Amino acid sequence: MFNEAQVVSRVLKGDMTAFELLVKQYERLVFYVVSRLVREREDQEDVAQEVFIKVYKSLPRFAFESKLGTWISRIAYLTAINHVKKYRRDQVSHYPEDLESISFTGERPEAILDKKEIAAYMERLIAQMPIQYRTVLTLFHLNGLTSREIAETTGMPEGTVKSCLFRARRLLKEKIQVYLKNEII
Amino acid sequence: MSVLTDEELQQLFEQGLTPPAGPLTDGEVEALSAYQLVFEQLGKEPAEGFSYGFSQRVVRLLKMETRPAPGFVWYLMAAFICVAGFGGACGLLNLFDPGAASKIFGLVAGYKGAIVLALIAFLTVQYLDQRFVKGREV
Repeated sequence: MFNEAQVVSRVLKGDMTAFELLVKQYERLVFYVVSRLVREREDQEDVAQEVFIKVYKSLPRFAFESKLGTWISRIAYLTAINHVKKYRRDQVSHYPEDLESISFTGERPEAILDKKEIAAYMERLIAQMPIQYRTVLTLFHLNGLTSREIAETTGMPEGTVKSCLFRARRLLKEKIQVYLKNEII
Repeated sequence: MSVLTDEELQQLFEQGLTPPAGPLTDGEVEALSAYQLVFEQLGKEPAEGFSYGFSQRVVRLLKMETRPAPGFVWYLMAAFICVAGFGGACGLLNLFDPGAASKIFGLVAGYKGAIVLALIAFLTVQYLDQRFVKGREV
C-alpha cells in the first residue's frame, strides 16, 4: 500500500529509492495529462521527466493541502501547457466558442464503418478537440479531479470547466451515435 | 412525458445513478447507450504508457541534476596543483640549468597583467555558467 505521507517524508530526507517509488506510483497519472496535451510522442517522455524533476524540487513546499496526485497533476498540466505554448502556439490559441464548429478531419460517416475499435476512434476524436476540452476530459475522467480541482489546476473558471466537459461529452456522444447507427445498418 | 436532456443524461452517468423508471423514447435509449459508451471509454486507462524503466531514468537524471557543482575548495585545490606543478617543473629545470628558473619567472613577470586578466576571465565564465546557464536547465 502506497503511503504518500511516508514516501514524501523519505524523499525529503534524500531517499532516492522512495522517489523512484513515487515516480512509479504517479507516472501513469502524468502520462494521461502529457500524452493528451503534447501530441509529439518523442516529446512526451521528456516533458514527463521535467514534471518529476519539478515535483522533486518542489516537494519541500508541498503542504498536504490537496492529494499528492492532484498536486502532481497540476505540475504535469502546467509543464505540458508551457511546452505546448512554447512549441505549438496555434494549439492553445485555437479555442472555438462554438464546439459544433470543430471539424473532424477524415471522419465521414461511411468511413466510420471501417473502424472496429471504438476506443481508438474516440481517442482520435479527442485528439482533434481544442486543448481546453482535452484537458478537462483527461483531468476529470482519468486523473479523477473534480470540476473545482480542475478549475484550480488550470485557472479556468469552474463554470467554464463544467461547460467544456458537458459540450465535449455531448459532441462525443453525437459522433458515437452516428458510429452505432452505421454499425447496425 | 418529458424527454431526458443531455445535461440530465450526463448527470446520471457522472453520479452513477439509474435512469428514471418508466418507458423511454427511442431517442433517449439511443442517447443513453451512446453516453454509456462515451463514459466507459473516457474512464478507460490508455493501454500504453512510458517506456520500460522510466522511473529509473528520472532518478538517474535527477542525480545528475542535483550533483553538487565544483565549489570554492575544488577551484582552490586546482589552483594549488597548478602552482605546485609549475614550481616543481621550474625547480627540476633549475637542477640541470641553474638560472633557467629565474629566466622563466622573468618571462612570466613580463606577462603578469595578461595572465591575471586571463585567470579572472576564466573564473568569471565559470561562475556565470554555474549561476545562470546550469541553474536554468531544470
